[in-house]
Amino acid sequence: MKMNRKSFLAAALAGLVAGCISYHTPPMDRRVTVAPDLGAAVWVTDVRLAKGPSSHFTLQANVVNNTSGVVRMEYRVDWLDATGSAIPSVVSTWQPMSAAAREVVPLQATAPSPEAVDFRFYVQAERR
Amino acid sequence: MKKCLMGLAFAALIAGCTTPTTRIDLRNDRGPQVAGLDYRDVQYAANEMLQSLFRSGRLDRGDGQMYVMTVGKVKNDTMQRFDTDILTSYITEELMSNNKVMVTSAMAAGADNRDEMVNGVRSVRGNAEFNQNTVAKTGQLVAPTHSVYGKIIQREIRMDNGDKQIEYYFQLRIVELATGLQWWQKQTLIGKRTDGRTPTW
Repeated sequence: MKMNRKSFLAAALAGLVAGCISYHTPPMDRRVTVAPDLGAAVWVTDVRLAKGPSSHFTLQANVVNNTSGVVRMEYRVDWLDATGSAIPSVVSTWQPMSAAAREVVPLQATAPSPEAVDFRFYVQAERR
Repeated sequence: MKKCLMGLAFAALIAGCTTPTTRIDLRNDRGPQVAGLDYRDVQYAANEMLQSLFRSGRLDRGDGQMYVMTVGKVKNDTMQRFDTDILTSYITEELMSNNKVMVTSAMAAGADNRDEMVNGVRSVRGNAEFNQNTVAKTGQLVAPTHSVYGKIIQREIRMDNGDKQIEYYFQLRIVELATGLQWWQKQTLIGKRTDGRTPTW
């Protein structure tokens, strides 16, 4: 009975500890989609929109490679106007990129139109 | 009967060996890379160039007016038959859809970018068959303020292991025609490695 009590206490402690562990999860921006084929290998952080000398917004984000190897991927940015409609453009096509082990790659993408005020950012593993 | 059967079997064998024709999924193309230039390379170059141009703000005018652009010479210095209008069309189409520029068809380096009808409609001045009120008057053509020109270069380098490295340089420049000053330029590099025997023409 005493043993059972010890087991019960150990199990309760284990449960408590497990409940307190904070898993390292990426900061998610609702406008960013990382494809499941990349898993947790890549995070997209520090997503910002700003205008420089131009009337077009430029998106800046950090693409973080969490692995110890090179990750080859592709990204695409769809730009949206004030009504949420996508602005068709050749700049909204898949573009290749890669990140070395543990590298943080700063990525910039400029909107194709001054009307673009929001975006959707997609990243997926290289397909070819 | 035996011959017939053999013929059918042969036909089935041949049919099984051919690749069926499919339409390229331009949005999610999973096709392998090629040593030459394909549409993905041109789109990549156009994308890089347009983003550089938009980021520079050089074509932003605060007065609501638009610049008038002409397409100058874009030299194809590669070993491939490649119409450079494929690249410049991406650029001018995007600039026009953004109301940044208007492109003139009255003056351009290549005949394909000029519309013969601009002169054609003027050739009927004084022709009684045409209502002269509908014929273009003199002094109506608008001269371009800017020109876009450039070059596509191919370099091939033999690697130590016999493979081939191919470098494609896409260069575009925009010049202000009144002053001759270059307003913007961008070079985009696309590099490929392939078997030494792969032709690129």
